[in-house]
Amino acid sequence: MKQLLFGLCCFLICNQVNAQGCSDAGFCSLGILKTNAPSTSKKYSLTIGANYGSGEQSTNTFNPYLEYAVRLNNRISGQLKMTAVYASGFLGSTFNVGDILGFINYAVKTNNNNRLGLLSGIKIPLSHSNDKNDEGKPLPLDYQSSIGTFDIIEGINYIIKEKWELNAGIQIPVIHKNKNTFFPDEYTDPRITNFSATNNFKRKSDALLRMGRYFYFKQSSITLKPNILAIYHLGEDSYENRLGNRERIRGSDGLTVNAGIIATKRFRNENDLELIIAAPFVVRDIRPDGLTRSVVANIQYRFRF
Amino acid sequence: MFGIIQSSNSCAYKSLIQDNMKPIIYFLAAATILILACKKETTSTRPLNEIPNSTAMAVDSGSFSNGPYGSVSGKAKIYKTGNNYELALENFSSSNGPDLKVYLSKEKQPVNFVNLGSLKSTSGNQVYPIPSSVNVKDYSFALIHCQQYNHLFGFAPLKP
Repeated sequence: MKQLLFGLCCFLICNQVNAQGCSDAGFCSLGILKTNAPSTSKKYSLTIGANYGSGEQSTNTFNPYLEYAVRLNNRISGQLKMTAVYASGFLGSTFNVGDILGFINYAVKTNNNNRLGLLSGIKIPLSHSNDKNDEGKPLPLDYQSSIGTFDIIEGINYIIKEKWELNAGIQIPVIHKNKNTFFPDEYTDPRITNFSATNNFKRKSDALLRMGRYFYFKQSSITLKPNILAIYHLGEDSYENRLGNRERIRGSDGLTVNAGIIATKRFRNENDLELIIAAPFVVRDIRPDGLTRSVVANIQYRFRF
Repeated sequence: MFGIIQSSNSCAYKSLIQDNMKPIIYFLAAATILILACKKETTSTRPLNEIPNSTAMAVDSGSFSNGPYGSVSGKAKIYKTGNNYELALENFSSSNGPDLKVYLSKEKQPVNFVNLGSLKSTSGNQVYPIPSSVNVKDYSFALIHCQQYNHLFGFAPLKP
């Protein structure tokens, strides 16, 4: 175990490649697809959290969120999550609300050894993905608080003998409300060539697969879950060029693989503190959606009542 | 007695609803604060004084008129330098908007158009390069158009 953790830490510290972090603050950070909360007698929880990511051309993003969850019975629970993003980089800085995510978890099978859960949800964008900098110039999606799509999210979670966890999911954009108007040629800074044009951007679906292993430290009430997360972007995204024609963004499809670790400390009052650190080691060639991260760190505190 | 039981149940029910609603109210309050923290997007108001290349020759021009959603004045002129074209906005002034673009368009309401880029400023003299693949003779209007909301702010018919 120590060697595993040491190896993972070394990997996370050394790995400075850029890659997709997650999908639009979406399904890889949702409910049972992220962590399987331990059983509790309390019906409600309110979670306050934030994550920090370092992205393309050192664009820093700070992403606070608020999540409210209710356990309706032993099998069904619902969650509502709202995000916001502060982004800062050489093009300027922005702050805006991001998305509202609503989803339902259903526990299909509960016994002492294995557990199967299903997740179904939606993502509603709260912005048009067209925030500008102080000069009024359009900014790439790396600076936007949302991709601007209404998405359907479906997922499945399987825990084997309380040790191994497998997740699979899909996130499908169904309505595009993206009004981004960014063209890199409106800037003269040479670093701008790292950003793709995203005028009236349209995004394809993502599929997720994650495998994790639980390690329990009962004396300190800490659980560790190192995990490998693979996200496959199922098609090439597109944008509208200056002549009003839609163009595909070559190389924007493909695989991203992240390694991460989730640490959860549970307190006597059943509240918990969760820390996540993750970094990618396989990346897509082009990542116009602005979800590029070299490393992501997340902290959250959950109140149960 | 039934009234008392009903009243008692009603109170318990109300209390249950209130208890359950509290977190939702807190959540919505926090959400409202975040939404109110949004900033409005606007075009720069700093006057510009860009001028076309001194060897450029004006080929088409027209004066701006107001569209249904804005007030725009000044002249639009297409200049030619060698095989390159550019659109100049001269003595230009426009009311502000959240997502103003400069278009060359075949129609007054843009359907077939070329997006020359974001309006650099609401006032002054400005120059926008026209992509080399564009045949400027095909386009009869220069437009100031709010792309995000599809609102026409102003138009200038381009004539020799």
